Amino acid sequence: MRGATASSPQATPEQTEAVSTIEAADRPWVTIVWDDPVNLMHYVTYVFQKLFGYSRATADRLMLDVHHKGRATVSTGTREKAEMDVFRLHEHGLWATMQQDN
Amino acid sequence: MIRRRQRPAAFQRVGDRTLIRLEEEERLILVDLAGQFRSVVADDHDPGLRRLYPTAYPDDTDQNDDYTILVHDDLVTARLAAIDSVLATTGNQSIDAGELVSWMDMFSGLRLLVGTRLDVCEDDVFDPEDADAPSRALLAWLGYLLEEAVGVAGEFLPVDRSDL
Repeated sequence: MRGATASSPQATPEQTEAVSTIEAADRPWVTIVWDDPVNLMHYVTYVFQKLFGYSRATADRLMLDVHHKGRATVSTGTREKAEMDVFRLHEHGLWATMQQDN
Repeated sequence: MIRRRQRPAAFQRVGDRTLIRLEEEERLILVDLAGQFRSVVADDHDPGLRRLYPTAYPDDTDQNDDYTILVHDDLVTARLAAIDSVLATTGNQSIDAGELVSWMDMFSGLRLLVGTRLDVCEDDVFDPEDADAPSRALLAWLGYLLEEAVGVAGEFLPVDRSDL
């Protein structure tokens, strides 16, 4: 990553790339749960409550998003947090993936 | 509103424990199922298991390989521990909250294995003439048990929850 040069008032291509590298690293990671034809709706709601501390209402809303829309974002944070959330969801049999937020 | 049941609930909360209200035959079936499931999980090569170890990074094979190397053994170990907890308690009159979570993990994991092998769809209709009928009946029975267990487990969640 390179810093700005004193004599250049406009951003060089290297600076622009450096800034976008920082921005990419700062973008949060999201954990997504995907619908599947086996898991029970009540079980999915329970797992969301248990793992993330959501109220029953919020957990139900997320579960219904998964059920009707095919997927839902269930948490946001650092890459490490997302990997841990994905792991815990996999432990409970849910299909979860992670990606950087757009 | 009180919902009437045709039969007693399979699980019932009593204080901080859960009563297991299963018949002897049902408990024996669960012992057999848990043992079979344990073998499949421990052997770790059945293609039906793939749903238990899904991808984490769908767009990046390298990152996903790293993730899998990191967590696969932990997922296997955790699942075996849950099955062993069930095997140790199928004869119990009651189980504690941690054991209830293990029972639910076993029901949900075994349903995923059976469901993956059957390649089920959400709108499948049960056909008793189908060669798959016994497996589909098993899937439904485990679903009933899981539904009952979740009903009790929800009562053990802390009352004060924070929203998003």
